[in-house]
Amino acid sequence: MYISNIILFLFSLSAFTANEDIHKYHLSKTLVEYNEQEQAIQVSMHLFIDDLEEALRQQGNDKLFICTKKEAADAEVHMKKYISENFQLAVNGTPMKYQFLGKEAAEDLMGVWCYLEITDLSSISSLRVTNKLLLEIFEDQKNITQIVGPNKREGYLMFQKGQYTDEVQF
Amino acid sequence: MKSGFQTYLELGFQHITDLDGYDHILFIVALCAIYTLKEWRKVAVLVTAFTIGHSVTLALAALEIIPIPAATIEFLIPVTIVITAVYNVTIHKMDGSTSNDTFNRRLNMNYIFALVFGLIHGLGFSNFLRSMLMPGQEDELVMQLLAFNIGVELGQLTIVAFILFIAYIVMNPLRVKQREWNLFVSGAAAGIALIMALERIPF
Repeated sequence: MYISNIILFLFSLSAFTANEDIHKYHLSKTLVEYNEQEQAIQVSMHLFIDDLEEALRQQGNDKLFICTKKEAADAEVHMKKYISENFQLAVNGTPMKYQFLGKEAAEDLMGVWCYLEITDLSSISSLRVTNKLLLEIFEDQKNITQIVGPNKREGYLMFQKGQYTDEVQF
Repeated sequence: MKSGFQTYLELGFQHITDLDGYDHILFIVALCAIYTLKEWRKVAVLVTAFTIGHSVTLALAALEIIPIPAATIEFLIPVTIVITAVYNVTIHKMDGSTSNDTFNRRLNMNYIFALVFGLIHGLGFSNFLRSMLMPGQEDELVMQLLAFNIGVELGQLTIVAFILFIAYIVMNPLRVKQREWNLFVSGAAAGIALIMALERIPF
């Protein structure tokens, strides 16, 4: 009886800790940089692959195996769609379309880097960033976004639940 | 826009006080279990030892001088909590003469624990920090590390203040003996950490 009580107690404790994966924090980071020479905004975005796959799975796109040999043929299409729906940039008050240049696995293979670009921007006085990536999926999701504007004016924006858009004046 | 310093300071504070990832909180709870509010100076030394420990490895790991698999670190963190909690209830004996609130401390092993185990927790922080650092910013790494560490330290002090306040309430208005408080807190910490360790066995 005594032993079984202990076992029961241990099991009930484990209910509190069972859902931890190894990167137990939910975080994305994005660098949005205005390149004056090329007159372009260049974006590098890091997402954890398992988090992104969870978001896509909830939209009905399962078994994408992003950044593996088994990657589904349409994986990149779904990624682009998800990113364009959840990450938007408006320059000088005008929403801009960006090009999806490509992706690559991060060094540790847990994350994927996505590269986006908006070209032909001769001047930029304000930038509105909307970054809802994964906020609907994880309660504790945080999206760190670093902005590097003209004249090396730079700083950070932090997006989390209830706060997914912000504007910067240069 | 926030500065990088403020951003990483807030991230450090939020990371250690985050109730979802409570293993670092649990370690601080275990370290504090044998102290009362009157002994806050000793606790401050203890927490500083912990900070020195994790600052060293956080810097080494963030600079990629020591690559250690995250799974191993995530396993070792709860192990450090179990050891600390077991130490709290085994090595320390009540001082027979001066009643409730004083432990004999012939061995101050828990200072060593704080320092050495700080090294392990620092590796845990570094896995977090590394995934936050932006590409191509090696020149800002030192600032980001420093800001993150200050945030962690402020978070720890907040947790310590909270625990010692609870301990004061329990031992004074509620008149619970320190020995019983320690058994209760250390036992709870050991139980939770043991489950965590078992779930994270990396081999």
